[in-house]
Amino acid sequence: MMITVVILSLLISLLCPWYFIAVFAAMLASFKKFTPKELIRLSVAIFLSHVVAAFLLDGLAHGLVSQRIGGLLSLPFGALLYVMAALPPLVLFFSTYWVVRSSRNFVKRRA
Amino acid sequence: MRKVFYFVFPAGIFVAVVFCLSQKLGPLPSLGPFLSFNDGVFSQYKKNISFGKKSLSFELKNLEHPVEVFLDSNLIPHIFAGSKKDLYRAQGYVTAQFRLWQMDMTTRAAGGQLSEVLGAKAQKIDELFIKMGLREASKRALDEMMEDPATQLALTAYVDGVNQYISSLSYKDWPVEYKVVQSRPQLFEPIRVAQLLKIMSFNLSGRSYDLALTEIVQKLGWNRSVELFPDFFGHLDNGQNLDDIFMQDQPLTKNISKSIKTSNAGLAAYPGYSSAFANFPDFLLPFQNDGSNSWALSAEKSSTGHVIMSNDTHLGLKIPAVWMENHLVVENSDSENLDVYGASFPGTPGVILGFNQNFSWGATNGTIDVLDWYEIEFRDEKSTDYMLDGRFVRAEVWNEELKIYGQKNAKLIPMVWTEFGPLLHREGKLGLTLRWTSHEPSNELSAFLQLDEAKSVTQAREILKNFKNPIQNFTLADAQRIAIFTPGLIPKRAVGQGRVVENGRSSKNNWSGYLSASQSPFLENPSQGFVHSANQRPEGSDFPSYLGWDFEEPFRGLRIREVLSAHQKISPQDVMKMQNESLNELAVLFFQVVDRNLVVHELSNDYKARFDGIVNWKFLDLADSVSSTQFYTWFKQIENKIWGKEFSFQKRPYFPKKAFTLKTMEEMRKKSSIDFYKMLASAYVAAMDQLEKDVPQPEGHKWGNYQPTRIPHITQFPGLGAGDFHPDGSRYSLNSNKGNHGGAWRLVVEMSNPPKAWSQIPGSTDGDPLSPNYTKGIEQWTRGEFRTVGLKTRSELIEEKSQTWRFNRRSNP
Repeated sequence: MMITVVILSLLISLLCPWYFIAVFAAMLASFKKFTPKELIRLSVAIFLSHVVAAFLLDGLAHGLVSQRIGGLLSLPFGALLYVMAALPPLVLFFSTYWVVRSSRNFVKRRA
Repeated sequence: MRKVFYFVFPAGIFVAVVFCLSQKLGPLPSLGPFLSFNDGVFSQYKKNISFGKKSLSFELKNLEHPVEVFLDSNLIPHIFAGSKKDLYRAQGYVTAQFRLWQMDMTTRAAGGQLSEVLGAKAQKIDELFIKMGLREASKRALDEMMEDPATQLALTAYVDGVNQYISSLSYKDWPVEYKVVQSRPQLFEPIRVAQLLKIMSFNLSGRSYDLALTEIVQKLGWNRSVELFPDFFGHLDNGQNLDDIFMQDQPLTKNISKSIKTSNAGLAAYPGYSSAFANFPDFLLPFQNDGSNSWALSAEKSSTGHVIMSNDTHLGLKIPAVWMENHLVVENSDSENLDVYGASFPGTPGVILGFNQNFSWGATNGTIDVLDWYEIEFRDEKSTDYMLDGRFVRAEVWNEELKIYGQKNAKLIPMVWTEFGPLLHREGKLGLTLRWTSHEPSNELSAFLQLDEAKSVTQAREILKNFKNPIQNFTLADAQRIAIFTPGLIPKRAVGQGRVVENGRSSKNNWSGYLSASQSPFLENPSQGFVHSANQRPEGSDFPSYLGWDFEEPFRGLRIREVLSAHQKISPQDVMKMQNESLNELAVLFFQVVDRNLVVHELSNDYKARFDGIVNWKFLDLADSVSSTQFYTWFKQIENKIWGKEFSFQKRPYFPKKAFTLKTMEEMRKKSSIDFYKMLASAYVAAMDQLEKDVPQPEGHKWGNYQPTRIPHITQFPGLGAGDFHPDGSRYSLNSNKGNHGGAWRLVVEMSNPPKAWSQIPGSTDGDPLSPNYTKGIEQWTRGEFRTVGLKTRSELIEEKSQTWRFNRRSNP
């Protein structure tokens, strides 16, 4: 399951606008419940897979994305850009999943 | 409550995350879309893949015939079209594809429209340019352009091509700079082209030392200021030593009291100007030692028997490069034929400098003074009526809008336009205006478009008679003739007029019109077999109007003249070598005044050892030369010793010209040789101490490390520039390398049939910072390597396996 989710998240990042990862997380949250520990592990896996993906995509662009954009953002070293690039999917996935699950629990408990 | 918290807390975090990722936070772009793999910076690989295809096809509206573009191995576009309309449309599209951000920014500057994209940080510069009248001047220029059918055709087709490219863009295709500032590329208006020509006009003729010199006059008096800042001699034809550099009859010292001094006598010591000068930005001052080299050799002087034309345009180095090389061809048409190769400013149609089958042309900046400042007296502190010839007259007053990105309401900039040009600075009742030839309506684009098709020197001269601003020394060459022509609006004025701020209370102090085009300096086929310019004064003191005093130092001009005179026959390869030559002509003249062995006598043993390098120095500013660095720092100290005290009132050091310093040194030596050498020795000691303090590592004393070449991004975005590079050369050698300024485009053309040509450019056609081609060519340029270029035929380009772009007509919906 975890591998599938990670692969899907990568495909979404590659093919869809940046916020689609939130849509994906929301859909996932609506039918699959992860324990907090699982959610953290899954989010970390998504984060790491995006770091690797950023590295590979930069390789396809001759390493110029990390070099130039790293310089533009005044990063101490270019590779930090891979981490930066993986942060939005991480926080978006995690926070969306969390908020959708909490809202489900909230609605359920109120009902 | 706990339940609510468990819902609201993550919801709050979610909203905050989405907000932060979708908004521009300070200087950071919105990171969500910016770092997206799908359409952000990491999607660059998609662009590279599509760009790397051997052939691409595009659809363009309004095309009459299909257009083919071949990109050769240097990525130079060779555009083959069936009509001029199609050609300029395709040129606009192709240029935008490579250089959209650069085009957008450079064409906005003169219109005061940078803030629309860059926000409040560009507000000051926009305000200044609007107040200087650049926006108004661009409007006037556009009116002129639109009145000429040929210019109108080129302009509208080119802008349409640019706009068709812009319209085709989605976020993923935006140049990365737009993603950074998070602003959508906006469609171009034809006025942008006029604005680009005006910003070049500002760079080349819109800066002056008038305010600095006014301050010097205030402190040191008229006579001393004339002594310290004399007129330079003209063609450098009378010899090659220091005495010949300056005008022998010194018309200024003779005549100044009769004209200018009298008319300005009533001014109350220019009360506002010191503060005005102190507050104006540095870029209003000319770049010292700015300039270009150009020369042409007759067929007799050329070792190949063909005329040779050489041009090296020295401009501020930027990435993407200021120039873009193009080859433009119109074929298969009875009435329109064009085959021209050369450099264009991204943002203007056609070729600005280059060559065709029959004719080649280059340029150096004219540096004739075409901008004068005036003091205006208003009726009171708020009025815009100003005193002229004893009565108050009304200035033209209106507001210009300044739009700023992120701000709802446009700022209104009040414009006050007088007989003496627009008001730039006001202190109570007194104001400073500037009169500048660039405010006159003009159509320089027409001249360039016609030069692209010119067949001879004679025809080119006729075309250039309508050229107004910025004044250029055009080097012209066809198969038989060579010439140098300096067309442009030259104000008619008295000797010395315009050196300092003039009295704007009297119309007598205004320019009395312009010289006619036939009076512009022109020299054709001289007996010496060559013409040349390194921005020196184009005429002597007998010229019918005062041309100003602030011409380029004579060093490069002297050297060109020396080399061309010394050789009977010169080949194109010799010319290329000359362009790369690093001989420091200032040092050559310096050591005609200074005996190195006598300096050694005055030094202690410790410094003697260091001075050995200077003793054996061949005056070459090579990248690994420590002596070059020593000489520069030493000369700076000498200047401080000679002028520092007298000029201590200055906030920005502005000393007399180096050539004048040399002349003064010669006089000092003649007066007392002992004191002179003592002064030189103490300056050397101070220079070496300072050098060691500033640069403790000995490796840093090598010239290439001391003055590395750094090429900044066109809008100074960090990380998008290139450097450090360590080329040879300096501001006093023909290879004019000044760190961030230098040979922005070099061309050598042999006018054989077909013409042979070689060029050098610091950068690539591709202005995309994430493209592997972005910095291509810079290393070659630093090594002084020329590329063979030319009027290649379609079949030659196909044989070379050039990348092909085909533009087909798209029917309008």
